[in-house]
Amino acid sequence: MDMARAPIRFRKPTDLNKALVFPALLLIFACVPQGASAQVYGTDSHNVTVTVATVNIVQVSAGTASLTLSAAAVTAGVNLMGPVTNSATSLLWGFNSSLRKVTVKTNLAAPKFILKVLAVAPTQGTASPEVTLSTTAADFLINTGRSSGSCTIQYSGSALASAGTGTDTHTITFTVAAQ
Amino acid sequence: MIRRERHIATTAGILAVLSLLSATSAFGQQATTTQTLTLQVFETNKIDISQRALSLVINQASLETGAPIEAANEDGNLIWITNGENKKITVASNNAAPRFLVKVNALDISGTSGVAAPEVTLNDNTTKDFVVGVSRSWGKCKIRFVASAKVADGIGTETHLVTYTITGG
Repeated sequence: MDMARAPIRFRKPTDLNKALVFPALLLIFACVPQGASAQVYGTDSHNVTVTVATVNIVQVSAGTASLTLSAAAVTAGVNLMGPVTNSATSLLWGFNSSLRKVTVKTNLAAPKFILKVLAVAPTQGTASPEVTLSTTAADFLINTGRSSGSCTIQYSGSALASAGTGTDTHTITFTVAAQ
Repeated sequence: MIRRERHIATTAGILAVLSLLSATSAFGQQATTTQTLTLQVFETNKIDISQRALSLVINQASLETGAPIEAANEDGNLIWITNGENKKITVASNNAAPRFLVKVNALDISGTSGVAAPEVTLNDNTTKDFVVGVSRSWGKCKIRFVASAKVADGIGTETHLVTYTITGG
């Protein structure tokens, strides 16, 4: 009985090991793809909100500009001296909302001389007629819509003889406004 | 579970950065821009005449005295402008010793300032006042020449180059 059982006792673990290794490996290989499949086909979600705010950008190509009225622009017998013009600078803008315009004004409440401004060749929108600058904002560019573009700023300076000589320094402000 | 939390944390971080960038961008938008413009006006004095050539012909004599009758010409106009103060307009002939008598004066001044000086005789080549009291103004006037001659002066032709100058008064 002992002899009969002994071989069984000594062989059984070996056979069992051999017998269990293959199923165990199958089980392991079977489980791993199942785990991988669970990640591939799993879903999740979240909300991403993108908000585009109203953008109004306006910029001048140079911070300064100058006009000099001298004899070359003067005609004897004509009361108005000039005009002389400066078209060296540009206005650039970008609006993402419709019905926008650009206004212009000066900070100089009592200028000695006459200063006018005109938007020349706007890539978008419509140039307003030439305006004489004052401290009240006047239309410079209208009907711009949703656009980015540029135009030449044409300043025109003139003076009455009675105004004499001197220098006017203007701070010109261009503003984006609803039309 | 850990992966999901990490993913959520990462997404939240990205959204926070985007929000910050959006806010920064919004604050950075310019609704206005400014430009400094300087308009400088120098003193300017200009003067011009309408007629480059004028002529005076003395071809009649007085029946009573026999003396030649003076000739007048008002065809020319003088125009000017100045934005300076205390100016005047002078007149001068280049003829230093004319044989015939030529006088000139400003007539019918219009504009915002200027007064006609008394009639002057162009009997030498010195400068004489023509219009005075001109300041920061434009104006115009007729130029009236009067030429006369004595019998003793005989006949002939004289040419004057008459120069008008706007200058400090």
